Amino acid sequence: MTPDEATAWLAAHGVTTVRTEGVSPDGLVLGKHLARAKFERSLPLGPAVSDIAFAYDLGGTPYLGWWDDWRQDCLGDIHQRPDLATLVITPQRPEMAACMVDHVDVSGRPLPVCPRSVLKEMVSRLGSHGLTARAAFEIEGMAFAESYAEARARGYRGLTPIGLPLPLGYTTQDAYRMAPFMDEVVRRLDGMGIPWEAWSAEAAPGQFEINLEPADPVTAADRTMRVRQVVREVASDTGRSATFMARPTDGYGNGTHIHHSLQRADGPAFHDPSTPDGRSSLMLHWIGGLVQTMPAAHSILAPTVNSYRRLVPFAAAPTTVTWAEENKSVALRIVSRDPKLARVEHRVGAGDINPHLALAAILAGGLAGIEAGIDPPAETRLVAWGLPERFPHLPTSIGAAAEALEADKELTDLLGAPMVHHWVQTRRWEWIMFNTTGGDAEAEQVTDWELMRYFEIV
Amino acid sequence: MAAPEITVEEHAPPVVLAVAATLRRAVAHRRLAGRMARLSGVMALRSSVDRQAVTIRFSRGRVALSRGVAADADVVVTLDFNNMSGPGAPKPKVKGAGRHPLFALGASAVLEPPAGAWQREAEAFWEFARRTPRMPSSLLVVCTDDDNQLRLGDAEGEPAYELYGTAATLGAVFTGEKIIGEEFLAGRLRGAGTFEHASVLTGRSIAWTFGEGRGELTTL
Repeated sequence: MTPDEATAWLAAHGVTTVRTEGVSPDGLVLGKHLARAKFERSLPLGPAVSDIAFAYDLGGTPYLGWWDDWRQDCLGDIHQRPDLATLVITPQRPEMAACMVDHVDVSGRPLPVCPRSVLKEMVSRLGSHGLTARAAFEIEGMAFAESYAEARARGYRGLTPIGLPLPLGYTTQDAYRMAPFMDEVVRRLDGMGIPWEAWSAEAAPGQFEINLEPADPVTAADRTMRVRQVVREVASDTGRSATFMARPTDGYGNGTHIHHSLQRADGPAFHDPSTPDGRSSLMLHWIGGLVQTMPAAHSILAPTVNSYRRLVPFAAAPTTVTWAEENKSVALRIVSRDPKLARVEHRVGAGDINPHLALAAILAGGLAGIEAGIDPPAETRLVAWGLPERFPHLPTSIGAAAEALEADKELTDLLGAPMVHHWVQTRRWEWIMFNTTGGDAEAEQVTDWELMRYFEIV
Repeated sequence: MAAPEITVEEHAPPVVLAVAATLRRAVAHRRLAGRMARLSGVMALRSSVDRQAVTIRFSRGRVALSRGVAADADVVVTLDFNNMSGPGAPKPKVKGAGRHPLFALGASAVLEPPAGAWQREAEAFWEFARRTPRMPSSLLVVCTDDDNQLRLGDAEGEPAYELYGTAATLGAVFTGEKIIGEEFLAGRLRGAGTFEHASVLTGRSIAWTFGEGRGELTTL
């Protein structure tokens, strides 16, 4: 869509306000509500925001301790460059449109820490190999009957799940109780043109899962971000509360499984009918890269202190660096029986991931595999939960994962040194803040610090 | 007598690193190093305001630090790690000192190494930090108690960054007891310069507090 076409589209839909929607490295959605004329005048560079928007933590404290080239010495502007193809009407406010943006500097260059731009780089790199990717997110979250204000007053503890208060997954009784909430969620998704495939009640009380149709990586990540936003908005509008924290309660946690596949011009790239199991050599190298870079990528797939509380044996989250065909206890579940279904389900991501960065890290890992011809280790034909220490495990703390990412040259080269530097520093900062501002490193259950910091925003 | 060997657990939390750094400052004093080498016992320090805690095992020249309060701690001190000294600092509560008076006294002494004048501590910090990329090329430190000034780094031209604070605050940040950025945000320290320099100075200050630049630290 050109700026002129956007102007006509906004007029035709009677839009008065455009909300920009950009993703920060921490996964926050940053934006402005612009009068239509202002939005149109701002094109193509888009509205300006202060670069401090990328430089404070989830508790609102400015990040201090390092410096990034993209920042200006004394605070300055960055721009939110609209991706006009993503303009949609927000169903609950028909006079308002929403538009995804990339974060760029004042001359229009993408910031190296703009998650959407980093993901685009990975897509471009795949293109240089003659490959395209498709991805589909499974989004887990939890919703409660209390409003955000009530939940806050209770310290986010002892909340009433919107479904059954039982740890049972898939039951239609549970889903029926959730339906008043979820029906409104999917009504809005339909209104925004976000193709969802299914939703279901999941295993923890109040837990739901939303499955989206496969799409190109940037679209898939955009939609995931928007789905989470819609869920929070429906919660807010209906006097409920919702969260995507990895483990907001002592029950099962929230994950984000990312299915993905590669295609060549002539068909599915993960499939080779000449091999006994249907797996192409490219698929095996892709898996090899994902396995090799998994400890490092874990920093991005488990971005908060709370993410690591999900990594409990026999609690449905993968805890080991493993892969296998049709095995939901491993980190990488492979499906290769049918060319149409051939894909990798990356099961490591926590509920609180930044979808753009997480998918970028996954594509980077796969790229590292195909570019270096990395062979995967042996397939795990065991239940991978509760394996003894001799099996490789995922890093178990935000600090250990950051160390692994900092040490991973392949992933750093692919994601970009400025992005990785910023990310590692911010994860260390989060670890320091947790330890020194009221968190409890010894606690086996979610702490007040985590609930106060993450519940309403991740 | 060999200097005491100080070790910390793997992935040690900030409080463990900071206390280890304090002990390494103590080792730099011959008298305290000797005293530390003779100590034997277990002391735990526990925060009075949050869940931070560290256990220190002194074993005649070997000192091992780990998180939490060990069940076999001989002496447990409850204190505010963010306000251990200076005006208004709450008095620590000590448990077990009655049964282990000499150990409690000795351990307390090595945990409070004497600080030099803020100028001397500032020079030590500058020596540690000055080669860091993006550090200001020069630093003017001004004591707001008496307008005493210290210029560090390039002697020519306008200072690249200026820091203003009381002697107590300057002493605290340059010994590593406090972090520059925290003191900025609390209004106890003021600076003139770029955000870049303030941020990098804070990064070095964090590293100094956690013991970088004070020799090798062994990880268990």
